[in-house]
Amino acid sequence: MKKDPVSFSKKAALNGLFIALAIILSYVESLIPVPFFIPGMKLGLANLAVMCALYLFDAKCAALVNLLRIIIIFLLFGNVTSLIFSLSGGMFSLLIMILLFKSHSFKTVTLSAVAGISHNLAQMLAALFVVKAVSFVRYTAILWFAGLLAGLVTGALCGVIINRIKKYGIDQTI
Amino acid sequence: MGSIKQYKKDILLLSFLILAGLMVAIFTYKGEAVGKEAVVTIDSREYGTYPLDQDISVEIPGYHGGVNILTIKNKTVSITDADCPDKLCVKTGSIKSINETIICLPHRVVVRIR
Repeated sequence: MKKDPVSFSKKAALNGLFIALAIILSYVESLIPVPFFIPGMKLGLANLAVMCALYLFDAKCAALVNLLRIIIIFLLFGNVTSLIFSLSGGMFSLLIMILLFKSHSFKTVTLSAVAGISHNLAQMLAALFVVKAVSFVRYTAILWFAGLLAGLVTGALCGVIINRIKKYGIDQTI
Repeated sequence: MGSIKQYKKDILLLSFLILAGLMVAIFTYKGEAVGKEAVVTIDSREYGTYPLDQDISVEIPGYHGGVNILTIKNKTVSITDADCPDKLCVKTGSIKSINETIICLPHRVVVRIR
């Protein structure tokens, strides 16, 4: 993207859109019941918006979208404990995603799967520090595969979305 | 979508992740915390604790009568016999990891590992 004022404001507007999308997706997925045995397990739909920002713009935008989403969700519904969990999970998984993205050798599905796993692992480590309950550790494997599966689903979805947007061009979408 | 070749690295990484996940599973479940003793409570009151490294067989009196036979053998705990109507405690089988429980509802007997 060129660095003229018009494209800058376009970028700002689109990033605002992504943040709004991420927030509403976070909310929507809390309404979807998960038919599994771990409470709080979810798909990670908000990652769709973050990944779109990463692929269509850059790592900085993705980090911004993710961070603002977490902070706004915290201000709207959250408490401090959930802020710690979403910050650790969200930011760590984003870091891993950006690293994989920069290597230019992986598809969205893989990126998202790795992000899912690292998100869950980071949250578990945070839980270990906050609650100091070592009994969480026995869920590591379950969390690992849950993250992998959820990541595969959202990653595949994200690949489709990004391809569509790229096909028509980011400038034609607004 | 193209040939499978362009997914080569992805497939490699994903299969590595699945393998690593299986390793984690094996590691965590093998290293599952084995308990030290069995705590028996009757109607929420602690009745006694039995170390897992001694093979014993004791009678646990139920709340308002009845009896359960608690057996510890090879560091696993089971209720081998009971005169309760449903015998769910016997059917539960043996337990050995921390926080596993055997419950006999009619006799209000709970055996928990810790």
